[in-house]
Amino acid sequence: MDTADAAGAGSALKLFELENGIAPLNQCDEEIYCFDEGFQRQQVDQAPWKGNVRHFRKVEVSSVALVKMVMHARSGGDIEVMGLMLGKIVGTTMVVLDAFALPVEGSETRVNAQSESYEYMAQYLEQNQASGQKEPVIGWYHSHPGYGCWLSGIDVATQMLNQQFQEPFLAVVIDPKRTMSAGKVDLGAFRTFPEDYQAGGSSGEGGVDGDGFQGVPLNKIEDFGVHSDKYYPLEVSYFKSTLDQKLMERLWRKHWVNTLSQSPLITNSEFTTQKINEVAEKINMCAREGRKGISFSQVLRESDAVAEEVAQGHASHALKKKLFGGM
Amino acid sequence: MAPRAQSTAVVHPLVLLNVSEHTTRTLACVKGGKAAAPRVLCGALLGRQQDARFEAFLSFELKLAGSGGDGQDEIDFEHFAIRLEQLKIIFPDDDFIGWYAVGMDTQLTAPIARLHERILARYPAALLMVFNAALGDGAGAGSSLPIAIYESHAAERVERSKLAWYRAGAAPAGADIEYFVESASDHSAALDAETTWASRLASVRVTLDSGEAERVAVEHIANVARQTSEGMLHSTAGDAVGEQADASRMAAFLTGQRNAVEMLDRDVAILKTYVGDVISGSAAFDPDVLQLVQRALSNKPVVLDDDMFDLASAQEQTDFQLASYLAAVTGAASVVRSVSHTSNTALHYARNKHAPYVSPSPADGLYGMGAGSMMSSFGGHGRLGRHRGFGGLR
Repeated sequence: MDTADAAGAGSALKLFELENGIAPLNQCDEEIYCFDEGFQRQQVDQAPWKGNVRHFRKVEVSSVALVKMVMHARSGGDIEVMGLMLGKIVGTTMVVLDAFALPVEGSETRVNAQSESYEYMAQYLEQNQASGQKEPVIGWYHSHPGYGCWLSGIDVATQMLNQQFQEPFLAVVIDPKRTMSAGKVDLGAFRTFPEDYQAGGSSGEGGVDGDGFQGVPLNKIEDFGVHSDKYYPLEVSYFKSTLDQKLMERLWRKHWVNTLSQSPLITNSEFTTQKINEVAEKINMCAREGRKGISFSQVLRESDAVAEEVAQGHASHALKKKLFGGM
Repeated sequence: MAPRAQSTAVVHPLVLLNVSEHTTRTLACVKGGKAAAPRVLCGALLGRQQDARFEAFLSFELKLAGSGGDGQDEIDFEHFAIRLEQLKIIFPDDDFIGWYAVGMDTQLTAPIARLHERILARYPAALLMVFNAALGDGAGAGSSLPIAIYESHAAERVERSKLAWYRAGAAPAGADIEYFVESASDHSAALDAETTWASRLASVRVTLDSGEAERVAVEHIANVARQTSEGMLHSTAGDAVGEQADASRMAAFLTGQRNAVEMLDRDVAILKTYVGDVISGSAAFDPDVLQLVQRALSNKPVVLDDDMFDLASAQEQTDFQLASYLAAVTGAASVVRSVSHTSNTALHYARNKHAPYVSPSPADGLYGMGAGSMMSSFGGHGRLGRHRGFGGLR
């Protein structure tokens, strides 16, 4: 048995030597994926965000975290769902490395973590630690099915509370419906200002202005307008590891069939109609009263987006017909 | 043993990405000196099973217990049970269907086989997925998924020598080796010293599938996400990459379609060559492949000879044109609006300078709203100025 064990240990060791040699892993992967507890604690102790309310400027989302969040958001349908993100901070960047769902039954327009989900969260994190995943919670995500990525009054309150007690903390909002209709991930990352902080007047320098957001629906625009100066958006980018990259190359070889067989026009027809109605209503409002919060350029952008989506859908149909028609 | 109907395992990209992340993170921590190298990198697969079709949707990491000095790996089933229960709260339709281990190729190794034996003792139907983390760039390696999935057949009586390879910890010899893993069985009475009950591991057919949200997210990763790069975390905001991708969504879409067509073209060409070779007698006749070709060809008319398709397509054409038209009208309206804004500004400027010479702007109609808001803002400034002026005088 001794020889067997030695051989077993030997092959395990070899596995890692080999991998280090062939290296699906490069130096940059190591910097991002290796969790340095001491360094993180040091940064949290320094708490540079206390001095500068806009300390964090960028968010980096890992491939696996993105897929998990988008799929979870989509699985909720019209219901808002929420979950937590794991990660770390490096300078002014927040790195989201992983995410997990919380068992929260959101109503149609609000999510609020209840006590049992706190229990769930605590247990989940404990299990993570045990299996060697050391990253702490770095924020929460939730979905806004169909009405864009911004923070509502309740979201702002939740996020402010978290930023008081859970720093560093990030809020991410995903719109699964727009993600599906545009064929492009619709995701926003935000941090709130402290309660007593006055965002730089109405100049738009503080907070977010309506132009940055594609189409907040009419029934939400009041909620949006009231709270839009209480938080600011962070620049979001996405990254994948070297291994992910190689995996993607192979996945694509199996994946192209889906690209050809999908039909965005059919899956999204209802949502498209809804958006056209929305655009029409907004134009009416602009014409009637020029209400604050709706700028015409924004409406224009929305209508262009709808047209572009339909055009894409049509192009894929035409392509299919050319490929498979008339044989 | 008679060949049985082959099972199919459907794997979702999320599972592969999750395994990839697990591998990368563990390796990074090992290299960074923050953790000891685990002997086997493994996790559980969650999904559904229907007859001979397995579908893996999710995965989570497994913790090994007792991987210390005595070298006997044992899965921490307590940890496993808690995590499984947690995930089933959120994904109630999914259950444990198997586990994965990360290797340097898709072959079984002794430590993996030993762990599989432990899992089979509890879950006799568990699948085993071996993920090839090497993913070399070498020719020929680039086409297939980097995984192999094995299912365990019912226990049968096997000579002990067939189990020797993993008992002894030696690598299996040859590529076509049959893998057996000892399985618990209560027929032990019927055994002699030379035989034991064991399950044969057979690889199953692997396909890839993704939900619609998953597809969009995966495409996003493939096209938009950047590979980790030097100083990625330290660069400042204002990255041009995201904006470019944003600016040309149509181009990205068309590129995606073009790539897909290219793949289709290549695959059709391969099939064509093969069928041609079979006809000319230079290639072996494979009924399975030909049946697939036949099926694909006979599928086609169901979609196409239908008048309904043309009708629907005509409707879509109309919808598309209408949507474009609406967008164009909106665009035109926007231009008119901005012109009216500009001219209103000019009017006001002019009126403030030469008030008597300019006719008053209409209160309603096209210019109404813009004019109103302009007036109020100008008025405000004007008053403010006067007040300040008075204050200064006083």
